[in-house]
Amino acid sequence: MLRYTLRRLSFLPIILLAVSIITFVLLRVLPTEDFADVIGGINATQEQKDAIRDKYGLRAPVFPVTVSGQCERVVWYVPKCSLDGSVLEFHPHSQYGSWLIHALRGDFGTTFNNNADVRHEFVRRFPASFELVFLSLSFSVFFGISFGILSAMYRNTPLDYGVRIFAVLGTSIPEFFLLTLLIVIPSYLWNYAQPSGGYVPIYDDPMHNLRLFLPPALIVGVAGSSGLMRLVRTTMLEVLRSDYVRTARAKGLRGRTVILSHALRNASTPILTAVGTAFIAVFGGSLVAERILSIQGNGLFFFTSTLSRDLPVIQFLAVYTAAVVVIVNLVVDLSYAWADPRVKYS
Amino acid sequence: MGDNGLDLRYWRSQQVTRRRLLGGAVVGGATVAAIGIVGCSSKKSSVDAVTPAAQPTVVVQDGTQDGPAKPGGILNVSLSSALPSMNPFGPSILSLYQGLFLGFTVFDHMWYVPTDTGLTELFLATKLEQPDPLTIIATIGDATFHDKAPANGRVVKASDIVASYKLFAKQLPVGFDYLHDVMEDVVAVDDHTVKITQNRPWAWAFTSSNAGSPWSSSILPEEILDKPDVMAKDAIGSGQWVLAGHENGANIKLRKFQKFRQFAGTTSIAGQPYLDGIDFKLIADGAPALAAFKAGQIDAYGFNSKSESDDTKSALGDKISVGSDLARDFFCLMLKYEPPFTDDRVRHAFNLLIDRDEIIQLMVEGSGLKCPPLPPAHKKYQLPDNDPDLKEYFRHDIADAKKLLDAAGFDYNQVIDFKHSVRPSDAQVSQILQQQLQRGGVQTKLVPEDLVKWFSQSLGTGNFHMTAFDHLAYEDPDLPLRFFMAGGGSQKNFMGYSNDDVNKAVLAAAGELDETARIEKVRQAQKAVIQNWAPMLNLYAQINYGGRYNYVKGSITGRGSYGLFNRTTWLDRS
Amino acid sequence: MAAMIERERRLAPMESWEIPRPKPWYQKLARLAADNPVGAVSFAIVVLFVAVGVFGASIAPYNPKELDASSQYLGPSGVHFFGTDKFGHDVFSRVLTGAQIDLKFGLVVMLVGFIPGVMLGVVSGYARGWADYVIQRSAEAWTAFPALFLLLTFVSAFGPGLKTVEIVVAISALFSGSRLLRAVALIEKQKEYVTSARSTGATETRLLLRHVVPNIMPFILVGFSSVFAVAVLLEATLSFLGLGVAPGTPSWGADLSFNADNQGTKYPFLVLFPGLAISLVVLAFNLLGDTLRDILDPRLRGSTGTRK
Repeated sequence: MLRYTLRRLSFLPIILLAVSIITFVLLRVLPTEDFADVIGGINATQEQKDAIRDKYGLRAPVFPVTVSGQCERVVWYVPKCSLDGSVLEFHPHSQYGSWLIHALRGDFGTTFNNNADVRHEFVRRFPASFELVFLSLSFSVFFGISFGILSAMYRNTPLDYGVRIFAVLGTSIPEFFLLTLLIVIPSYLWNYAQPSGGYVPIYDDPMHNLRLFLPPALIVGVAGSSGLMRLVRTTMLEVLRSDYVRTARAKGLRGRTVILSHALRNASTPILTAVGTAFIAVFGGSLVAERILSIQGNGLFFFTSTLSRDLPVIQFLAVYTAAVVVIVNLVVDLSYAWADPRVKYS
Repeated sequence: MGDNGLDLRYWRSQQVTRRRLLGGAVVGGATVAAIGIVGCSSKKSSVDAVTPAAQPTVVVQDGTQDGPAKPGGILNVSLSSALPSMNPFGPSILSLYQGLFLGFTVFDHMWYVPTDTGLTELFLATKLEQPDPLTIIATIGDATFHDKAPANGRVVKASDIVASYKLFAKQLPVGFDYLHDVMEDVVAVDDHTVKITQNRPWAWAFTSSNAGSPWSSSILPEEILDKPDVMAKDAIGSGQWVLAGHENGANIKLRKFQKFRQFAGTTSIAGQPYLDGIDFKLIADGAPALAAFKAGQIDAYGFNSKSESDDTKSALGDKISVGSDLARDFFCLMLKYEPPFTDDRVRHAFNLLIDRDEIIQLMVEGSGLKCPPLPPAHKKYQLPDNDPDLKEYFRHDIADAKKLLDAAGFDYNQVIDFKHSVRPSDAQVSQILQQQLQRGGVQTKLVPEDLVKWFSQSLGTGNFHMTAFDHLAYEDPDLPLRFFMAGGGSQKNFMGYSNDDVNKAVLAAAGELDETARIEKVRQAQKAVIQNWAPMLNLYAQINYGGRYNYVKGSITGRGSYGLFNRTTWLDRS
Repeated sequence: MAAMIERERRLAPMESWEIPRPKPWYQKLARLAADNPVGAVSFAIVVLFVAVGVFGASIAPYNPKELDASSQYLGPSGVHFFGTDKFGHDVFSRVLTGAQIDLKFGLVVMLVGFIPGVMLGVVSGYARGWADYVIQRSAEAWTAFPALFLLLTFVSAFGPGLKTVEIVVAISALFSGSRLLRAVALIEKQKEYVTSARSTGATETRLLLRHVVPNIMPFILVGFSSVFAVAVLLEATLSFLGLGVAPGTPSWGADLSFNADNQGTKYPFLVLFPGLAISLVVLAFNLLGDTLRDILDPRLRGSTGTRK
């Protein structure tokens, strides 16, 4: 188990490295726009633009290794390269190289927009994002599992149909629509406003904090729960039909005990996978909620940074998102063993 | 903008909301000064019977009759976009947004010229002399900086002012005609005296487009000017408000500076500002901000339109009062001076195709003014209504336009690219113009662009055929007229247009020190712009509507940017 | 042996040896619809959506872009079914025309993403090997990320616009198509008809085209339906965020955001109609997918949940 964990964790740096390289290609190799034009303003001279490129380290080659060869395009999508006389060049001061060296020391650079420490900006925004994602995921898991079980237990009853309708509506109604309604409808009907902006930590003012976070978390959470709900229902139905549950019932165990200790435990593997998927859904959904309700979290940070092409921020948040995704998947995999002792990792 | 003018309505339209970003970048001639940050409110609560007037009127009120002020209290207002940084001077033109915000609140200035009176008001300066047209000597009073490291509440010296001007000029090396072309030098004669020398007489030297800009004349302590890291995180000034806290530039808390300008000889009054502080909550979009105002979560709010103002007034009744103010920004259509727009008849025809009344109705439900070459905010310098050139400028006649286009041999089959930024207001005006031009058979293709890209790579480099946007009127008539000319200082116009009549007329106005003669020369310059159909066609300037709860007292509004220097607001929640 | 057959013949009722006359297709369809009312309704909505997408612009009562300064913010009425917005646009006409964007977008995603993905999935599931490994690992990596984050990263590289969104959603569709069909192909490969066809000397290619592909067609339809739902949802979300269609283009997501910002708290119906249009279409595609799945193969239940 420990070895398995370590082996899985050892993939993490490789994945993060790959993600960082891909983001570099996406952000620094492919775009044709000159960043110096953008930040320098309209009347910047060539020298000023060069100064900007120097300042943000945009003059160095992007990657530490380049191959200079003769390439021509045979058809637009097929380059034909001759490696005759090609040179493999190494650049000690490449953009990626210096980013990586600093990143390994925990320094992700400064934002282009205001020269602030990226890591610091991220940490400041983290509590708001964390609370939103945490609450949303809690709602997702709560609704997903409880409604899923209920629906399976009361199969083909109005309750079951209700849950299934709820689940399909949750997948189909866009979050941004519900979040916009959250602003528009209470204001129209009761002059009530969902508070937006201004994060207040829960230990400072629990009431205000919950007014700020509960409604959007409910919307994002319910939208993220529908996949889980369907899956719990299907899996539970299969498990309930299985022999050992029938045996447990036959032994005279009470319904609730059967459901909770036998059936649910045996259905745990696919359900945990779905919880991982729900997390990803909630992670994306929280970005929309942060944007619409002006919650200063990392989702909004990512959104505004992509619009202003703040490269260090996008790079950092891409790597961060990758890390979160990988770790969540790992946790899900590991929890299989905890939930279902039949699963063994070696 | 609320009563005290603290809700930055202009910036709400400019800033990063759903598809808006870095709004500060959108400044016309790149020379940036006091912008149309407007205060609007009314003191009277009797604005209820609102009848739609044919000619929109501006209800400017002042709160001086609210009785003796009760100091104290925190005002809650909204802010549409986080400040990208606390550094007012950099790193680029994009710092305009925080530069103005902080310039109006945290930083002090030597003097200021409100647009409505045109009279210089002394701020930190106790005396302002101009011994000859080329020299300005300012004597400053004994003020202190906010009590924050590294300034730690020390006295403001003339050398701080000089260093601040110089850093500004260095950080924003282009665009500021006055700082780079006209101002020869600025020196500290002693701790209390600042001397500015100019290389030529300049009629607008004191106004906010020049040495009196709320942005470039912000006074910062010398010792932080070489520390961009400190400047990015905290703003240390000597102004009325101390920056008490912010979350990444959002949710800014300002608190009263107790030792603000306590010396004789300034226009400030002891005890001001009356409020203990102002909290700016970040609310990016109009709908949640309006909802927050209706729910009483913010005390003042700038409406999007007159009907929104009227509806809120009728919903909340006596709890709020509303007022209005003429915006300082205006919309324009720019045509690149290239075929087919090199033909005067084509530009004239395009102007005839524009139905300004319809634009005003669709954009702001009728609450706006048609915009002549010089935006309506510069009231004193306007052409009279019956001026034949002005009448022709505002005429809308599709048939005549077609005749002119036919005479010019205009090719109706061409589809002209019409670039615009994705900022909602720009995109909306462009859509309306596209439809209006189509009624005359002119076909255009809208090309939306990311705001920063549009600004730096299309507008700024003149890389467009047509573009429409929300331009800034600034605080004196010189800059808006310069948009039409070429060859003055470092400034080029985006259209690549140059006409000797226009150039001469605009420069003549700036060099004229006598006011009466200058007003006439500004009018002549406008006539030259119209007669030559200079390729920037101005559309309209809107009227901003603001509301505030009645417990907000004492605000004075309707004074252009001056609203933000307003320190008379107080709260009476009893 | 012969005796056994003879006994069978005697025992079996005679009719069963006659080939039953095939029922006309409409009867089959009606039977299917009666068994699956939800599926039938959602199929009808999908058909309606496609029809509106194709003909919406021509049947719209008003020009969706025509300005009308005299009819701003009118409530729903017999003249303007869904009311009018800030520019006096007829919201009903804009909702009708807005279907076009989504239909086009969905078709592009299908053609560029899903269908190549399906082929890729079949080939990779059938052939296995290192290519299969690479495709499957990339698909896993790609689908592990929230779609919105991928979209934003691409937007920062290529700039906002429908093209960028199309690229990203098409890649997502490519991978989900390949994953779905790979699983199906793996199962089909082991089935008897394949083994027997192979034993009769059919070439691998022929086998794939003539036997495997027709057998997995139903699964393609299931995937098609749920991928379409995701495509419509993502197009609307990105347009709502201002990163999709050009301003002014009738599009449900963009109109919703425009109307919310312009008097949305006073006229909630302006927000409601475009929002309901999106929800209805996505719902119909999701339900249709569910129904098809139930009819075609209960094993697939839950395996192709939509992802946002």
